[in-house]
Parts: sequence; C-alpha cells; structure tokens
Amino acid sequence: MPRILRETISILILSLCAGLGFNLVRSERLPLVADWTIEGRLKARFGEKAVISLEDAKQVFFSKTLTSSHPHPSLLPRILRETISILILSLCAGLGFNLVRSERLPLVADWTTEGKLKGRFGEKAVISLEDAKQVFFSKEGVFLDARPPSDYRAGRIQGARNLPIEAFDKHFDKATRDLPQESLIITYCDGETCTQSDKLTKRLKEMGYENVRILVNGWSLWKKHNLPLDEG
Amino acid sequence: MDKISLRNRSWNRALLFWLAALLISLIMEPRLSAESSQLPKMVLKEQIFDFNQVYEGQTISHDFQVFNRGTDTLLIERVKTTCSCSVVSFDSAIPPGGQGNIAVKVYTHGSDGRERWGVTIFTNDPNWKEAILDLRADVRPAIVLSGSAVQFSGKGNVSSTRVIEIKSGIDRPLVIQPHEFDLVGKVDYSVEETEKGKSFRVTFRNLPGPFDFYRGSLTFITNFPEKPELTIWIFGRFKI
Repeated sequence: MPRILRETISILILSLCAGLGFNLVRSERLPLVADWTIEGRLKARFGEKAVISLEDAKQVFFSKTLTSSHPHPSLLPRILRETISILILSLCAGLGFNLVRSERLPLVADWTTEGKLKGRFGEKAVISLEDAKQVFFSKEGVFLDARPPSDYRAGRIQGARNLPIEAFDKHFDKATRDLPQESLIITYCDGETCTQSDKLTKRLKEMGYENVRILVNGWSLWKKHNLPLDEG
Repeated sequence: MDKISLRNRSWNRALLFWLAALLISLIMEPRLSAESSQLPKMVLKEQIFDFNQVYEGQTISHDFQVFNRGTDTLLIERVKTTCSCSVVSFDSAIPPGGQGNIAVKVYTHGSDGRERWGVTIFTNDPNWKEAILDLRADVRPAIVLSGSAVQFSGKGNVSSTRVIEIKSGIDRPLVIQPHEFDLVGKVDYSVEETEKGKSFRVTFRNLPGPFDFYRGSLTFITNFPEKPELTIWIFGRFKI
C-alpha cells in the first residue's frame, strides 16, 4: 500500500479515536445512538408531543383541531457532521504535514520497487524477467550477484559473477576486469525489498559502467521459473 | 410513520448492528483464546529495532526476545536473511511460558543513509508462522569521499588532473597512508593534508603515453577501525 495512503488512513483512524475519546471525557457527552435533529432533542427534553409541524400548526390555526404530526425534514445527524469534519481536517493535516516534511511524498507516483528504482536510476534501470532471459540465452550481457559469497556459493544464476556490495573494492577488479565500461550488466539479489543490487548498481555507475540494469528479486524469480542455475 | 422517524430508525439500527457485532466479537474472543491456548503462541518483545546512528563499516548486533505464551513448545524451524546480515544464533525450541533469543548481526559495509535489514523467522505457531524482524539504522560514512573513482579520457598524449577530497566523518583525527598503487608509469598522485586530521586532497595526473585503456586503484590504510582501507579507482580511456 502506498506510504501516503497508509499515513493518511492512520491519521484518519487516530483522529476518529481522538474524537471518540474526547467525547468520552467531555462534560456534555454526546451519545453515539440518538436522534440529533432539533425535533429529537426537544422531544428528549419535553416529551414526545413537544414539537408541532408547520402543517399541523396550520391545521390547528384553520380548524382548531390537531389530527396528526408531520415533523420537519431531518437535518444531517450531528455526529455524522462532526465525523466528516474531523476526517476532512485530518486529510488537510496529512497533506499539510507532507508539504512541510523534508522528504516530501509525491501525491501521484509509482510506488512499486520498479517505480522507485526507475525514479532513482532512470527509465532503463529495471529489466524484466523476459528481457533478462533473452540477455542470458543470447549472452549479450553479464549477471552480477550482489549477495554475500555464502549465498552466492549456495546457488546463483548460471554463469553469474559475485560482486558482494559489502566487499565491493575487494571483488570489483576480479568481477569486472574483462568487462568494457559499455557492457550490459544485470545485477540481482534476493527478495522484493533487497537493496544490495541497487547499491551495486550505484557503485558500478560511479565506476563508469552506465549500462547496468536491475533484475528485481532476481534470484527468487530465476529459481521460480526453473531457469539455469549453478550450485556449489 | 413519518419520514424523519424512519430515517432516524434506520440510523439507529445501523449503529445498533455495529454495536452488536462488536459485542459478539468481544464475547467470542475468550473462546478463541481458549482454543488456541492448546498451541504454542509466539510473542515478540519487539519486531522492529532501530540502532539509530552508526558508522559504515561497523558490525552491529541485536538480540530479539521471543516468548512462548502458549501451552505447547514453540519451535523456531528456520530463519532466512535477505540482507547483509546473519543470524548468529537462535533458540530453536522454547517451552511453554519460556523465553528465547534470536541474535542478529548486521554488516554495514557498503551501506549509506537510512537503511533497513530484514530477517524472516518460521515457527510452528499456527497463528504466526512467519514473522519478519526489522532492523534499522542511520548509517553515516566514517570517511567521506568526493568520489570513489576518477576517469581520464581524451587524447593519450595530453596530461590532465583529477582531484578527490577525503574527509573524516567522525569527530576523531584521521590518518591515511598510501598502501597500494598499481598504475605506476601511467598515473601520478600526490596527497595533501588540507586540514590537520580532518581532510585530505588527493590529486591524480595521467602521464602522456601510448595508452588506450587502463584501470587500477590507489589504496590507503587508515587509523579508523570502521574503515581500515580506502580505495580510489582510476580509469583511463584514450584516443590514440
């Protein structure tokens, strides 16, 4: 769920709780179930027959008798009005807070992992599994595994080289010495939220490798689709 | 029946229905608890731990406490990390009423800024088979570099310079010492201490020659245990 939506919903729920809590401690506590119209409140105060409609009043005026009661159309119940007001105020507070926060959240954005990576590294930052397969079988590029050596040794995309981000300077030369800076490189790690491949991409770009793309959740995705692996 | 009474009645019915649903859920809850009490029940003291500010290169660790509030043994069947971290140890079986630990170690090498690491634990608690332990930290660089690589390009017979600034990210005097350099005869470098114990300027100069491409590095040894080594990569691509 997008962060701004989550934050807004949280603020709304908190505001609702605050409203209900405030009602619990206020001197004139408002009941949650009640007739909030003017007629309802007058009836509660003076009894069921306390209010007369205009129609009945006219009838009384012209015929001097009272036959039926037709109350006024209802007003919006007060609790509903107050709840809506609190929700609108909360929404404004959430949007206002977003306006002044240091890392402002855009109201319209692609909040997926792919979207965030594209925002950071450019439109071509992410490669789909289909395209990665094509690169793999045509041998047009090299796969770099950003996970720690123990994970790499346990299993990897066939032919992938290990360049763990934690020891980048130690492994960089061995992993890329034969790769010209224009080479197509696909980085991957494991898990939708793993950030090792992003960090590796950033470091590779600093080194002058511009054609680097990220296969999001690469290891799990590759295994799931029974694509060629190396183990051990 | 007039319109206003009907509307009020429907409002009241909706609210009464809501209250009834709440009441039923409250009545049912103890029964559900009674049923689940025959099983292990995992309770975590915390699921998120924030180390706050740390320096890149530090290895940080935390013990997550796990309680078993059920009546059967709680088994932690396996743990999985998808980050630069490892689970050092964990109590695989926690008796009813008992307590166990999951010790996690995080390696901050290569981390920068606000970071998160996740560890998934798999248990035999039917209501919580998978739990994610979330570790967070604000990772600051122990040593700040203006760049980690320099690129020379253009004509090979023309000399040019590139500069990298090195600054201490910690409030301690920094000492750096050149250790390894593998581009002798192709690139020269000089190191200047611009502010005592705080900042340095490394100037690289390519030497004219018949080179089309080279790459290498200059490594420094530092006195910071968080960052004992510092590497600057050098690339040259020339038109002959």
